[in-house]
Amino acid sequence: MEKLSRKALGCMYVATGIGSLILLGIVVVVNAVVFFPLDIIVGKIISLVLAMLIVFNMVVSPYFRFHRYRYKIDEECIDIREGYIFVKRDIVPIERLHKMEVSRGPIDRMFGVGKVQVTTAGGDVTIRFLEKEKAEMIAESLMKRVNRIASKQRENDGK
Amino acid sequence: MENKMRFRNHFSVLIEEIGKAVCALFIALFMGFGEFLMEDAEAEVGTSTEDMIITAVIFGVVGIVVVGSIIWRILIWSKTWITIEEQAVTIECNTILRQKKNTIGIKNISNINLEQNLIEMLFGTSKLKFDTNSLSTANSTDVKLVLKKGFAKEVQQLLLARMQQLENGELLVEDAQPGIDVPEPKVAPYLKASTGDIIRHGFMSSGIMGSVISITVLIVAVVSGIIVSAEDPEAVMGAGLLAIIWAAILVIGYVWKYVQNFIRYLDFTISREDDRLVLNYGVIKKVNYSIPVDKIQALKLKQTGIARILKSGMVEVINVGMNDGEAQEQCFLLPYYKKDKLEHILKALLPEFSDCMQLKEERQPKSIWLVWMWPMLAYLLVMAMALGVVAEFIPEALIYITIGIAVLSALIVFWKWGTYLTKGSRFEGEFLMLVSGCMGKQAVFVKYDKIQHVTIKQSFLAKKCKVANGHIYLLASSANQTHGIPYFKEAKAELLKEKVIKA
Repeated sequence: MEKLSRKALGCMYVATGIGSLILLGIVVVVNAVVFFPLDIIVGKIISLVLAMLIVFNMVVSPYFRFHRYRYKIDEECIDIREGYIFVKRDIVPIERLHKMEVSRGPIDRMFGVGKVQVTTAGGDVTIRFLEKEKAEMIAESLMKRVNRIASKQRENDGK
Repeated sequence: MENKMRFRNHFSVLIEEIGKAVCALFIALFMGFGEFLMEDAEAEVGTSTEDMIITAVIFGVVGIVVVGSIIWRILIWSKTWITIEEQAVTIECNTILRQKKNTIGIKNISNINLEQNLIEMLFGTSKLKFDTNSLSTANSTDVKLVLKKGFAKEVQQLLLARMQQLENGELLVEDAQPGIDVPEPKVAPYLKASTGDIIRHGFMSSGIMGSVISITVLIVAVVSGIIVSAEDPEAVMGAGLLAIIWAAILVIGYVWKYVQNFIRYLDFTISREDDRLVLNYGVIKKVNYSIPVDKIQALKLKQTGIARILKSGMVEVINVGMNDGEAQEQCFLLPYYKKDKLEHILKALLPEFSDCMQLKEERQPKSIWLVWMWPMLAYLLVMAMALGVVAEFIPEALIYITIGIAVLSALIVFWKWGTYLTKGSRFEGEFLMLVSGCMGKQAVFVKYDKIQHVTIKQSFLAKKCKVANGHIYLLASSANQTHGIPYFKEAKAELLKEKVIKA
């Protein structure tokens, strides 16, 4: 199974950092508006614990997510493993694909990465943090395979 | 030669649409006006002439809006034409403000169903509904036409014939007009449910266990409330009255659901015509619908708590384009029967799924109790913190809160134990079997080639215990698109992957 490039690690850190800062901001505001003026000690303790968890997650989770992320695309299926505390594995048979999309958000563009979203009749699955050229190559290759499968099926139906 | 048929919806559709809107409007107006009158009566100084003028203006504006809306609806109805062409059904609406044209390929239609509610019975019309087999429209029925009953039936048969011809790659029959060369249904019903069958179905599907638990929780809550407010007689009376009202609502709800289930499925018949299942049922709202067998994504065997004890079950189908607004009835296939009778019926009607009834699921591995320790510990921590807060701020209520938490915890443990005993899966064979539930039970049988993709999940603890769970995704409406895979041994993940890919 293939691993992500190093660029993905930077992208993960930035994305997680932004999310964590927003959460920390909410915690700070709640403390400033409620817990400190009313001197609610329990609230302060919970906020402190939450803040520590958010910072810990910000530092640690991208590293583990990066090293755990694996993907494999072969003739038969797409197999993606990702996650941190909860590991998720998506298995998509190539035959079931009918749409591919390559997209890049602002943070993805900063690090030269993108994502490929594949669509089946049951929903979407995304391969994230791929290098831009690789994402386009994968999408093109998948499209060719899907078209090949579709023409084979049409031939069989004709027979 | 052109092979087209052009017609409009029956005018009674206007009466139904306008009637509903006008009723809702008048209710809103009446309530608003009543409130306004009461406020005026209570006012110390009233300016009644001004108020009358304002009221008249409001009614005038509302009247104009209502009349305008009626005229607009009539215009839309008169300008909306439905055309059945060789390979497509077109619905066109051309007004000054709006131009819309929907084209649906006949080959893409998966279901054509007939319904007749009370108003339609009065007018002698039927509603023709058809769905297409695509994900984007899987959440709603695509087309609804209201036609004279006989004509609706003929259009249904015509479309079914064209679908069959297109599927077989045959040339379309020229000049195919309703009533001339449309094939008549050729099969008598295989099964006609008796009144006793439907009564039993109503009883079994009403979920008495849920009601019993709700009433138990209610009694505990009320008794706790009474004890807490024992010094205040008014509060006790209030709590008692609330309890009686709530219990009455539960009982009425249970009885109404029972009556609904009974009325909905009276006169139930089912038959197999070539590659379709044809169902008819209902008295107040008559439903006739056909299910193409190859569009069935999965079969669902459902059992309430009582049905499990009596070894009975009912069957639903998961089909593309079904389970929209009238969710419950569109999935329905067979009412509650004994399991061996269900097996016998499925062998005759749906041999493609007949082996399902004999499958036995594998229960979840015992090690998942260790996996569940983590959320249980989190729950205990939260409860302990809650008790700490209560002890700090409301010490007099501590004993009652503790009893409440103990009862809740006991229910959770009971529920967890129930789900452990019920849930399971089976990966071997032609079907993937997924079983869920606690007191009731639901088994989903899916052929592997119908599974669009699979997600497998493992938490940190699950990895250590070598178990996993996940979801499968089907081509179905949102209510039936995703199905959970209960915990299974990690090693079986590769078997699942292989079966899904090779199918």
